Amino acid sequence: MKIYNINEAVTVPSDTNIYFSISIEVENTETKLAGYTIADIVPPGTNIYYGFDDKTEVKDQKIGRGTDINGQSLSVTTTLSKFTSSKVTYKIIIEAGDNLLLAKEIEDTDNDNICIYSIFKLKV
Amino acid sequence: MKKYLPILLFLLASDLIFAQSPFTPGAVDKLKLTSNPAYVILGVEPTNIERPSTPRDFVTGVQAGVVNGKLTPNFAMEFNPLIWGKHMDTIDPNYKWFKAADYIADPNWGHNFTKAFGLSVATSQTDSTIYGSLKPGTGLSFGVTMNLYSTPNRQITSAYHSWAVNWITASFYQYLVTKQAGAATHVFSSTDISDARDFAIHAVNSQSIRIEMREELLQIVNQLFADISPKNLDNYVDSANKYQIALDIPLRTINHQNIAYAKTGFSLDLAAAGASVFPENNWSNVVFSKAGVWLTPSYRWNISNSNNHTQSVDWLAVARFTWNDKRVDSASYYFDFGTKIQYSYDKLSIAAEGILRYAQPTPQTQASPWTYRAVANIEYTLVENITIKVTLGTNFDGNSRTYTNPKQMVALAGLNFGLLK
Repeated sequence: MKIYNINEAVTVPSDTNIYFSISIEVENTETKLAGYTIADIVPPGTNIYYGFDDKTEVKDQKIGRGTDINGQSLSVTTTLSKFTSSKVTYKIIIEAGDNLLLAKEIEDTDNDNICIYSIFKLKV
Repeated sequence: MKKYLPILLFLLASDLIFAQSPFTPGAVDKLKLTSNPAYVILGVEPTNIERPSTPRDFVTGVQAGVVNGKLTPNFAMEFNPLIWGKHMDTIDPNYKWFKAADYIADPNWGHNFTKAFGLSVATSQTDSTIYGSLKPGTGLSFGVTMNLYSTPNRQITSAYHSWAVNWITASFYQYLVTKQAGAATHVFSSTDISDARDFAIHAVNSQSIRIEMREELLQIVNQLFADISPKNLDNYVDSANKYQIALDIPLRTINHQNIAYAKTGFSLDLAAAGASVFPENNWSNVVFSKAGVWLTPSYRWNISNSNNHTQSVDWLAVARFTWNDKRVDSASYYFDFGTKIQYSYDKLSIAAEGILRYAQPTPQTQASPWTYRAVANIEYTLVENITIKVTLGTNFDGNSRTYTNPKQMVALAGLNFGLLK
């Protein structure tokens, strides 16, 4: 079991909608995965996404408009159980339209069970 | 044997090339084309006792074996029409997501029967050694194999249960951790606890959880909800990590079961096959020459101590009844009883088997109706669909019509090449 912690500040444009996406790649295609992602914009904490319920990606989830989310945080927790060991690549990106604001990637080969806690502080 | 040496060297060299790609545990057991009953009844199968292999939509292949001193090309197809149209690899967009029910802990007899069902067709050249007075020609056989019973693997079932309970409990607490993580000043309300319950219920209903387990897990979630309030919510971060860590041991246990589709534990399989011979390759001369039915009880121990390697020991037995046409054999019936022990390590398999055969009526040239076969067999899978095998031992005394060469040695070097889906 490995716990990864990501803590990043992200500068966002004020007049554009911000989105985040998560993808998971598994090197051994025989590997079966069980996993979920919980995402929350706090405060106010009303914007909850349920992700990774049997899918390998969460795509273009809207966080909010820059001016509206200034000073808030995106909190994301992802848990993966790998049935059959394999290298797994977890990637999370935050974008404003076509403008890439942040990309974080985690590779894990050794652990069959990983948990990734991420906090992205959003500021205009 | 010498004339096949260059071929063997070429194949071993090929393996060195293919070996650049990492070994995938479980991949080797996907193709065991020569184990199909159609080959067994044709008499071209070097080993007589096989644990049924992984069922596939369709497998076809060529076996080049040295049979009765001649290099004999044999062709076989094996397919499972019961899973056609249900193949998860092609029609299910979520096929790569874990569905433990599909292959680890599925106690449903019908599901197992469907997945382990196989029909096979094989052809081979025939000669007068195996087929008595019939002139050499072509043999055509049909076979069916099915799993009658297999025990659920208790260790794996228990590990999966433990994993599921901890996974669902962890999801409850991780919801709260996520909620609080971005805002240190967040004050939990009863709504948060309720939302955590809803999320955990969402996880209960995911594909990773067996339907039969969901009721029990829902009770666990509801108990968590009943026991926790914003006022006594002190150790939720520790709890989230504790239950995450608790996933490790059952997950490790499950992942040691790295022969993904070939079950460990006890299995009882039934096979039946019939063979027709076309002497001189003439369609109008067809003779339905042999038919057989046999039971194969077996037990597989998974002795892998690493997730990166497949290692198992199999014990198998067989009880077989074979009917022979008079033109093929003076004995109308064979009763075979045999046992086999097999050790497998990744691509390598070493086995020894012995079969006692009782012929009825006693062949005219023999004092005893009993004969036996004892062979050792080594198989090495070069790549997923190419297997080389060498068999050495004593064969049955031909068929009973040619009971003239007791303890006839058998030395076979074969190559199996297959295509599969």
